[in-house]
Amino acid sequence: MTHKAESLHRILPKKKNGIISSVVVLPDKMRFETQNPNEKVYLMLRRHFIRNLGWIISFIILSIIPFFLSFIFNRLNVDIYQVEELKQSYILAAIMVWYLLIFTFTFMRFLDWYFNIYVVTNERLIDFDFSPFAYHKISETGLDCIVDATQENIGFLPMLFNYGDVYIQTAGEKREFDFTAVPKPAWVRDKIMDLRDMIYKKPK
Amino acid sequence: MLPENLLFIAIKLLLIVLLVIYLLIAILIARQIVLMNKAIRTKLSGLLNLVSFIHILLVFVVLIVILLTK
Repeated sequence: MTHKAESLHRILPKKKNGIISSVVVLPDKMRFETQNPNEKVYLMLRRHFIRNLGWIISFIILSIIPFFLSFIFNRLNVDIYQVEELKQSYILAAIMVWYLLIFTFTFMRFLDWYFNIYVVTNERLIDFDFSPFAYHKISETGLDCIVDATQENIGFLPMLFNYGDVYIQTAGEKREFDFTAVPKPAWVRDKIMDLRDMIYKKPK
Repeated sequence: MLPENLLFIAIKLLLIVLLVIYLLIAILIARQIVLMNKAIRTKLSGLLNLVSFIHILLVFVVLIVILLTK
């Protein structure tokens, strides 16, 4: 085992994969467009999964509203299919539009979480920013440009679920990289600095 | 009777216009997914492409249903 492989094993002792995981260590099947031939992905991070709780709860509540309304009408002995002005086809169309809106809302929120990715390779940090129909932006900086890293856990949920922001100061044109709401921010900050030292500092 | 019919026609027309815009948004989302999958390839890339295609199809089906509603 070479010195670098040994150091890497010490910094990232085991792989951690998962299709929708927030922290992926040494991912197997992840590739990106501008990946160089010898470039290896060490870490792939997303916002903590708990940040999706809002839209998951909204999805559940919005999905059961038609059933809830149907239940209410039943209790009131109102058969909406018998209302003269409301044809059955209108009700069916309204239900279809309702579920379509819920599906789009949920899908967009999922994509927003899934494609906002932070990647750490043996050469650079890459920040993939994505908004389903507004923009996508990709910024990167070399690992050698990292000056320092700061972590921050603010609020009740970040404290409870151990997630927070990691700010990485760089010497490059883009002064700061923000890894927003990543799980285990202390671990992330430490690993990024360790990987930078492993690659760019000469062994003692 | 006529004003009520007019009201339903107006609602139907409005829905059709909105769904056409919706269809364009669904296509835009699918296009964005293709671009992102090109930028970063993950295990879910294929599935996301498929879901975005189904999404377009669903909007199209709802549009057809609204058009055929009398």
